[in-house]
Amino acid sequence: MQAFFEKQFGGQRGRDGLMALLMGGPAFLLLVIFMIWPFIRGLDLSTTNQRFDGAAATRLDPWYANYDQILSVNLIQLPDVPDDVPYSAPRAGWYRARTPDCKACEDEFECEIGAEGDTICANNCAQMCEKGDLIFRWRGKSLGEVGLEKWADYEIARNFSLFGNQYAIIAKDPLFWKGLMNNFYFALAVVPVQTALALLLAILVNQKLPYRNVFRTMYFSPVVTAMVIIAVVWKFLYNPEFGLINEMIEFITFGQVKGSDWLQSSTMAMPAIIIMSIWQGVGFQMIIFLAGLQDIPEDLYEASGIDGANMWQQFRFVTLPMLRNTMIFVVLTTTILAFRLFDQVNVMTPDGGPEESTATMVWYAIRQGWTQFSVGYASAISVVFVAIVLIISLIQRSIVREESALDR
Amino acid sequence: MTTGTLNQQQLAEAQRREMIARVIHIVRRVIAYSLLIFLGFVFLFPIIFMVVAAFKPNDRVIADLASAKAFLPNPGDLTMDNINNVFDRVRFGHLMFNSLFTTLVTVIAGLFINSMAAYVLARLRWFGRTFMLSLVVSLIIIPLEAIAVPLMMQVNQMSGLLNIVTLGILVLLTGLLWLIVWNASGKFLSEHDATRSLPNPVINVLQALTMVIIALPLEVLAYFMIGQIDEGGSWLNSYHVQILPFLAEPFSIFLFYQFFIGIPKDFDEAAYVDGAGPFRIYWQIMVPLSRPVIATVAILKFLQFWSFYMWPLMVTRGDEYQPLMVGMSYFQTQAPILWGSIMAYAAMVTIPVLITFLLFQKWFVASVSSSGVKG
Repeated sequence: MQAFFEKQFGGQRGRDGLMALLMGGPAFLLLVIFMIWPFIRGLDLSTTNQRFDGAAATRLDPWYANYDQILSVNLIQLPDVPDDVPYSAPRAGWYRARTPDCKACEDEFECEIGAEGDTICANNCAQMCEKGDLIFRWRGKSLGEVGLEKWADYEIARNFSLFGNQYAIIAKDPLFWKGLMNNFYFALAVVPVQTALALLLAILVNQKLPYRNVFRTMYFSPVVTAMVIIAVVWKFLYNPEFGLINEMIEFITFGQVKGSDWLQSSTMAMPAIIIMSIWQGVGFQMIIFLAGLQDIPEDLYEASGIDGANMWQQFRFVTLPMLRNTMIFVVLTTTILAFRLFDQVNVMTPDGGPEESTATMVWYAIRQGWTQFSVGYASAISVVFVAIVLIISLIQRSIVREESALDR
Repeated sequence: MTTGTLNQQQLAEAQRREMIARVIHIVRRVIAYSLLIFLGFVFLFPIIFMVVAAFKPNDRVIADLASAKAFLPNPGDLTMDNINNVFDRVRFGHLMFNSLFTTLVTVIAGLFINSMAAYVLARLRWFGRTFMLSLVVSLIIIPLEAIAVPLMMQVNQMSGLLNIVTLGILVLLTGLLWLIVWNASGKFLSEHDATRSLPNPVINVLQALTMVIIALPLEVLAYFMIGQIDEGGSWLNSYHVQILPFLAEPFSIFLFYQFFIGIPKDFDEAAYVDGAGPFRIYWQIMVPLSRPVIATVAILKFLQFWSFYMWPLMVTRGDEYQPLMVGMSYFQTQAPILWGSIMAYAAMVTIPVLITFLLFQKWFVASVSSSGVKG
């Protein structure tokens, strides 16, 4: 024991140890206090019903109840019962039963909740009809009647028909899954497009042209502009009535193509955010590719030129292989960034967009934890989020490792 | 005779080829430049639009959208109304101070803390070094978004012990800065012609003054922090809640570490033989040699914290401690919503950074590329 202390704290090594404590201590302590400890606390909180207002929290029973709520998802076949509901059921597929009050209201105003163009009913009865009890029904039958009582905690995330049968993806928390899917949508669109565009821009500004640095600066300037500012400006540009983007689309196509509703349409809101994010981020990746391009020795191009390679072949067999490491770095970081998507979404569509089409995992966690004070539930979402980010980066890394093993 | 005509033919042929080559060259240049300019427009049009709209009367902002006028200021009705309106409706100067203060302290104090930690990891031999190194590297993957909610919970109910520890770190940093400034200013004052002949006590007073002035941001921060801790446990709505959790950052430590292990050990061994201790080696050998990586970390962190949005949104209420990015929401949520004012606010936030970028663009570009090549 004494020998151990002698070794650690005596002589040169001892002085190093003391200085390590003094100089490195602040950083390591701060990391422990503000990263590692909150992470561990998050794991703990995720098994409780902790709320932000400080009310006493209890451990959930079972402890994984939050995770169960978040992750429960299933695919079921919907029973084929005749549709005797006089109005179109709400989006969620199975709907809350109408209470007698609601029914009476409908009868009084001779209207139908949910019927197209029926504003009388919406104005007078909507609230009353919303307050129905939470027994879900499917096509007028209670879930027990059609053998779905097992799924009473679930809501329909999406239903579709296949070979004449009705199927539904059901989840206890459809909004989380919606957010996860939106994250994947964003990542699958942004990562390839942004990487390809960045490489293209890098090649373009890497040509030996006078004033190329001016253009490099232009393409990089969105990167130094804060995302919040960009999101606010683009929100104005995307305005469907008088937004500049629609005006430009109509101008360029001579009015042949009508503009889109962008942020106010459930199908175009995410693409709108994707386009803006690529516009903002591509300059950063361009610079990284540019550094990679400038590291490629000129002789390789000369040698391949002498061998008769054309420009495409030079790109395919010289540039791309030499940029492998840069490419890996760019793809890895862009993917992780895509899953951290929050700022743009929160500024442009604070409520998650039409039909939650721009809700993301991080947005949902912040909404639960910060807006709605459900810290326990939000912590559980954060843990799932970390797990997903870890899994994705591990998968990417193992792919990279396999490829480099093949190269050797 | 025949050879002569042949030569002439060859000459004409050669000239023709040269002409074609030149035309092709020019055409390629034209195509390349028109592509570059078109892309330049794509990347700049929202920024140009924003700046131009900031100086237009509110009704013109929307009226001009249908034509190229959106990008051109109308000489007739240039106005400062929007900018005055921004100053009327929010305490813009105060918000700007909040943003600058939190960003600069986070960046500069962060440089200190992270480079020292990296030096300790790269050069000193101590128990647990390899473990700490792998811990730091693995922490890079954990994004702030993942711990934001529990972190908010934690800073809302900081325990007494954590308050003391974090305050201790802040005091230690301030002391370190004092020490460095004291030494540097002492050396400067005793060597400079104008001050060399001053008596020692006067020099000491001057040293102390420079010391206190240069470390002012940290002192102010510590002052605010002590005041708030005195009032109660919560850190919400303060400067330090926006600074302290982000001082130590694994990625910065990693960048510094990578740079430090590339510096030949002969340098510090020579200094060690001359009797220099670890801190002196760090401050007088490693830091002067690592200007590129200091610029890299400083610029990357500046960009990150200048546009920091999610965390300040969660932990601040009202404009007392809010940064510019969060203050923007005031214009979007409070009636009347005037797009001219919003664009003016956006331009006023963006233009200083854009000018800084234009002045130091070589450093910006170098920092971004070195973040990627090594990462």
